[in-house]
Amino acid sequence: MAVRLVRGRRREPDPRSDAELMIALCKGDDQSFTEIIRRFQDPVYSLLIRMLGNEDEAEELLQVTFCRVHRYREHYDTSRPLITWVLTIASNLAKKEWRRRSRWLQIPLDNVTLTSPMQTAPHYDAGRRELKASLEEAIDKLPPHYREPFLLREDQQLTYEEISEVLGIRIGTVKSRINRARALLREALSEAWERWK
Amino acid sequence: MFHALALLAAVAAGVTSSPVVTIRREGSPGITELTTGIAISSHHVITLSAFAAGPSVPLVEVDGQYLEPDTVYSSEGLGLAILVFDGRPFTSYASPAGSLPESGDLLTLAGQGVGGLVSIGGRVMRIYEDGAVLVSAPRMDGLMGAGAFDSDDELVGLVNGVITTRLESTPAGSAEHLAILPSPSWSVWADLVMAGRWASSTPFGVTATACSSEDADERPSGVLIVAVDDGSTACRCGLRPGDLVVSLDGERIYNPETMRGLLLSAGDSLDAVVWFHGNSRTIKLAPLR
Amino acid sequence: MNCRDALRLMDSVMDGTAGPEQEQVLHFHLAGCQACKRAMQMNRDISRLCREMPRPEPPSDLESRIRARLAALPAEVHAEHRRRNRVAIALPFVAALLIVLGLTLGSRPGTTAVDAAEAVRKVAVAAQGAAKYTVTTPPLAAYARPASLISF
Repeated sequence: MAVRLVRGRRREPDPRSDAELMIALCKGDDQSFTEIIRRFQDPVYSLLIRMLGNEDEAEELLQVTFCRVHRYREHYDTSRPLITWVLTIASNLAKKEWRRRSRWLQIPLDNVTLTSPMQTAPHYDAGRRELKASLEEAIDKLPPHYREPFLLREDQQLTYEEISEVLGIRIGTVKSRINRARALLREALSEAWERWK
Repeated sequence: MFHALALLAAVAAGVTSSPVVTIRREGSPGITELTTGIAISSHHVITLSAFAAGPSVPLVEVDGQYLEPDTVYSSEGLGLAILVFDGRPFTSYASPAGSLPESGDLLTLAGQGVGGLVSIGGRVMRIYEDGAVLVSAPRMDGLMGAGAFDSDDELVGLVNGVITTRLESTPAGSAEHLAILPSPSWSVWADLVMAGRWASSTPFGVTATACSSEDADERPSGVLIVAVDDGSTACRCGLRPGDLVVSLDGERIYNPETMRGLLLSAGDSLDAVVWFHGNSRTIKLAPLR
Repeated sequence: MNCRDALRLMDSVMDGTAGPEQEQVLHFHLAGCQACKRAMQMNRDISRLCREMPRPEPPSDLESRIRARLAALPAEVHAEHRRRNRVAIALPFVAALLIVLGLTLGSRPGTTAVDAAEAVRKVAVAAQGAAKYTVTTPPLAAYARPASLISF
């Protein structure tokens, strides 16, 4: 009896560049869309969940983002980084959601369930965990217009130019908002940081 | 104009919320005065101090209800007041712009007129010699105290009057511009009020006023020191009556409230450029605690 | 260099946009200023902790959900959007006038006849209510510099 060896979804990494994937998608290559989703689902989800504060909305907008990437694939400028284009779409969707539900409020951290396991050393470092937890809370308390550029810098490691593209604001504004975000975080975490040090 | 009316309809239909709020007061008996305030946090509204002055309490409209502020912080020096509220009633708020706009920038002026939200565009013409930003825009109902926003939706300042300047080139011989009190003049004060850190334990020891170069030909605009207390910090730093503080920490200042705010939020001594009878000197001012 | 400039320069140094001379200037300031040194350390620690923060995982069936959505959508609507925008831009004053008169605009994007009429009705009611008792707004006054003395 022949046994079909199920190899599972262990992919070899697709060697094509982001721009090549988009060009292929425009030509009708369906497989490239799978790869695009695979490459960008984490950063987009991460941004959405930290901007919206709950899983359900983040998942919904995550799907809509990729739908738009597919539908407006012809609009993508291949000379620009794909990550900024995708994040711009996601960011605008999040902003519309904010405005629609008038939610420039602080969302408590309880609504966010982070499913990845935290890497903890065998000897439990209480001080560090406390600072980390306080940090997440403090970031969630940042007003959205400070939180977003801060996340794009620290979480997504985008340059100031890329952030300015994604958010549609001047580079000077990006700098001053990141500066404010860091100042607000320093104020909020001052005690926890002292204890951790 | 289309955009303004569309916004008007949208706000009337309850579709969008805006940091521009209505302040309602009783002016003379039987007369209701509607003025503009701008929410700068979930529980702070900034407005011209004239709109928050007594005896009638300023009430802010939120979702059809009129809320009374818990506290009102007024700065006579700036002509601004901040209303502080219990709870967090404002779902949409603006953040003050970090720098002055540039000549040629297009700003959106938004205020509460009698019929509702008024929103028009205005172009920045120049910075006036006492720090005000001059904007060309038509006179309209609801623009006194209106918020001026830049293309990033940040609050550039509040409209606090009309300036008429002499211009030979125009047929009328003069031009009218709206004056905006820009955020660098008041954002430090506003931040301190919002953080609740406005009080200082020791006074700096000066009495000062805003002074403009219009009043005396040779003198620049700045903060004029009128009196210095003996033995005070100001005295020890070298300030004397008649000194005109022109810049602090590298930035032009025009108002004693700005000076106080900068000294209160400084971590270290600040460099001050001081003008006196045609001579400039630089001294170090110790921070206020 | 004052502390406010130092705090701004700190961001540039951390984000890799400052030149070597600027970094030198900052380090010189940090050597003599405890407050800024502490701020820099905090900034660095916060940045590092951000990178170590657990990343939330998107749902495993994301792709199939996306493909299902795409399949359910109607055919491309780009052309339609473009046409609609052009109509809206070309008729600003007419459209405004029509809104005020409460008439419906068949091709105005995003607003049905019912919505436009409702919005007009609300504004009209507000204006009517205003007429019952006297409502004023402060006039644009001549600019006057606040000339009060303050002591601090």
